[in-house]
Formats: sequence, structure tokens, C-alpha cells
Amino acid sequence: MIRKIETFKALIGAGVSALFAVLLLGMNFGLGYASTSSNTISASANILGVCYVSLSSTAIEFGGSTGTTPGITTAANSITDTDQNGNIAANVLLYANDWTGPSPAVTYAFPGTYTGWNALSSGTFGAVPNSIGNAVNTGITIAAPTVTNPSTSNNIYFDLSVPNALTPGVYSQTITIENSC
Amino acid sequence: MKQLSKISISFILVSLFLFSFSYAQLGEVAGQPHFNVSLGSSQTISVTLVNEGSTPINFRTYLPNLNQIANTTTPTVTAYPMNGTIKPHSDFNVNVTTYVPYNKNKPGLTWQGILQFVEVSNLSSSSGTGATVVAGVAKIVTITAAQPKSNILTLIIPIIIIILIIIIAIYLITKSKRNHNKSKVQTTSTSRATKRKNTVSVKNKSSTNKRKSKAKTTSKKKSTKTSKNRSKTKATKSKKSKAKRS
Repeated sequence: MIRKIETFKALIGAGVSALFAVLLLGMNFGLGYASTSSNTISASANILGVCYVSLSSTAIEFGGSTGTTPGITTAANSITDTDQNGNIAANVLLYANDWTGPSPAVTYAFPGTYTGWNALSSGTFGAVPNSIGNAVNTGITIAAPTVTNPSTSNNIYFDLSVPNALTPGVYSQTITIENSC
Repeated sequence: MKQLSKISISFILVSLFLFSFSYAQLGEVAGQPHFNVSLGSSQTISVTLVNEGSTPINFRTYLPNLNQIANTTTPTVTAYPMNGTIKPHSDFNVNVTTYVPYNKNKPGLTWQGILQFVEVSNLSSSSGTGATVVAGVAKIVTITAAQPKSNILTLIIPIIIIILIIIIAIYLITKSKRNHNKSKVQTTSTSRATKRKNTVSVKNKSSTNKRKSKAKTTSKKKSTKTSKNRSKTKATKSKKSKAKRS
């Protein structure tokens, strides 16, 4: 019985080795088992649209360093909104909070709507909304940057109509400029 | 003088280097989120913010003030996280969830608002009458109420209840039938048993009666025998006495 098993094992071993030999021969001599190699890889990339916001300045000094007087509308100050390395056009939205002052003892605040905005340096300036949730869509667009022109920008102009009889002192406000795409 | 000029030139070069290589630029992946939310349910959309610059950006989320529609319940909008820091050259996901309540709302109603992500800086306005200018990115969020979803549970639960009722009814019917059959079987068996008992008792009674009668007869016989014997003895005795007398 043991002998029979041993012979059976030997037969199987011989058969397997013969099969390998045939395969090797076939591969070597190209008898139907020739290996096929490929040197191409299919690649894909989904490029998402992105827009960036970068502002030319972080502060506007209405009336310059000398200041301004009550009842006067200051000259327009421009902020450049740049989209660098983005790839899609963006709309410019903005809002501002109320003016507070005079610093440091705040006694009076006047609405942020006294700040005006415009796409041009001259003409009629619209009131900047002073509610965070109600940012206004200015209609100003930042064109989509391209490979040849990776940085696109546009200007927004601001002025301030200082209320009459406003207590002298330093007043401050925060204007938020947002790009949306 | 030469040293001063050298220092100033090196300072300018360093500042230029810093200006060109250290900057933060906030951005967002394009696409205005449109929530199509079924009445009574919520939907979450992820907004991706990007920092293209080499310095971290701290941001704060401002939820939209949705437009009010008369005789409706305005949906609620939540965002997570409400603030955070975007690492340099990386992006950051903010999950925005809207919930449209059933109350007073109908499918087709649409609300809009501006979701804002604003840079947080420690900058303060300069001297004089000034404004601090802050950069941000915004998404115009649109929420449309849709037909309420046919919840699978609302369908499954009544079906399960009906199936359970049917099963219970079948069980009760089969149980009552079994009980009825059992009672029938019991009554028949009891009747049979009583019949058997009765017959057995009758038999027993008859046997006892028979025994009794037998005993009676035997006793009678015995008594007759004894009486006969007595009479016999009496007769013999009288005969003997007569003989004696004679």
C-alpha cells in the first residue's frame, strides 16, 4: 500500500515537472506561451475649479493720515482683489460692520452704510451693507486665471461720507471682501 | 555709510524674499451648493477651502441669513467646524448641513443665503479714520424643499404589525381549536371512563350481590341444616326420653 502511494506521488511529481518543462520550452521558443509585455499606463486626473482671494491692502485710511472732517465724502480708495493660481472666475461680494469710535472711549457708532463702494473710482457709490449674512454681490468679477495669465485681478473703490457733527476721534470699521465661485 | 547702505539693501532683499515666499492665500473649490432637501429631513454637503500659501490661515464660518418666505418655516443651516486653521498648501473640509422642517412648508419652496468663510487676523486699523479690510470666500447656498421621502420604516412597521396580528390570530385560532378538540376528547374519555366505571361498579355490585346471595343461600342452607340437625337431635332426644319413660 505504502509503495503504491509512493509510486503515485512520484508519478504526480514527474507530471508536474514535465508540465513546467513544456511551459518553459513554450515560453522560450514562442510556442503559444510567449510573454506579452506592455509599457503603457492609462492615467487620468480630475482638476477641480478653484478661486482664490488676495487683497492688496489690509486697511483703508479714509481721509489719509491727516484725517477728514464731518459732512465730507472722502476720496475713493481702491483695493485690488487678486486671484493668483486659481482656474475659475469669481464674483466679488462685500459687507462691512458698523463704525465704532471714537477710540478708546467709544461713545457713538454710526452705520457701516456710510461707507460707499463702486467698481469705478468715480460715479455713484453704493452703500456697503452692514449685515454679515447679507453680503452684497457687487457684480464685479475676477476673470479666471490661465496658464499663460496665472494672476487676474479687479479693483473695488471705497469712500466714506462722514456724518455731520460727529465727535472727533479715531473711528474704525471692518470691511470684508469675498470671492465666490 | 557704506555699511548702512549694505544693511538697508540686505533688509530689502530679506523683506522681498519673505514677501515672495511667505504668504497666505485663501481659496475655495468651485461650485455653489444646492441643497435639495426632503421635507422633514436634512442634507449635508462638504465645502472645501484651500490654502495656496505657505503660512496657515485661521478662518471663521458665518452661517447664511436665509431669505424669509411668508407663512413658511425657514430651514436651519449648521456648519462644522465653525472655525479652524487651514495648513499651508492644503485644503480643509467644512460640512454644511441643512434641515427643512415639515411645519408650514411645501415642496418647491426655495431659500437662499450667503455662507461665508472669513480670514481671522489680528490686524487693527491704522491711525486716523480707517477701516480694516479682511478677505474671505463665500458660497451662495440654495435650499429647495422636496417631497418627503417614503421612509422604508413607515412602510415596514405597519406590515410587520399586520403580520404579527395575523400570526397571533392564527395562533389563537389553532389554540382554541386544539383546546376544543382536547375538551372533546376529554369528555369522550371521561364519559367512556364513567361508563367503564359504571359497568365495573355494576359488575362489582352484581358480583357482591351474587356473593351476598350465595352467602345468604349458604347461610340459609347452613341454618336449615342446623335447624334440621337441631330438630333431628331434638327428635332423637325426645325419642330417647320417650324410650326411657317407657
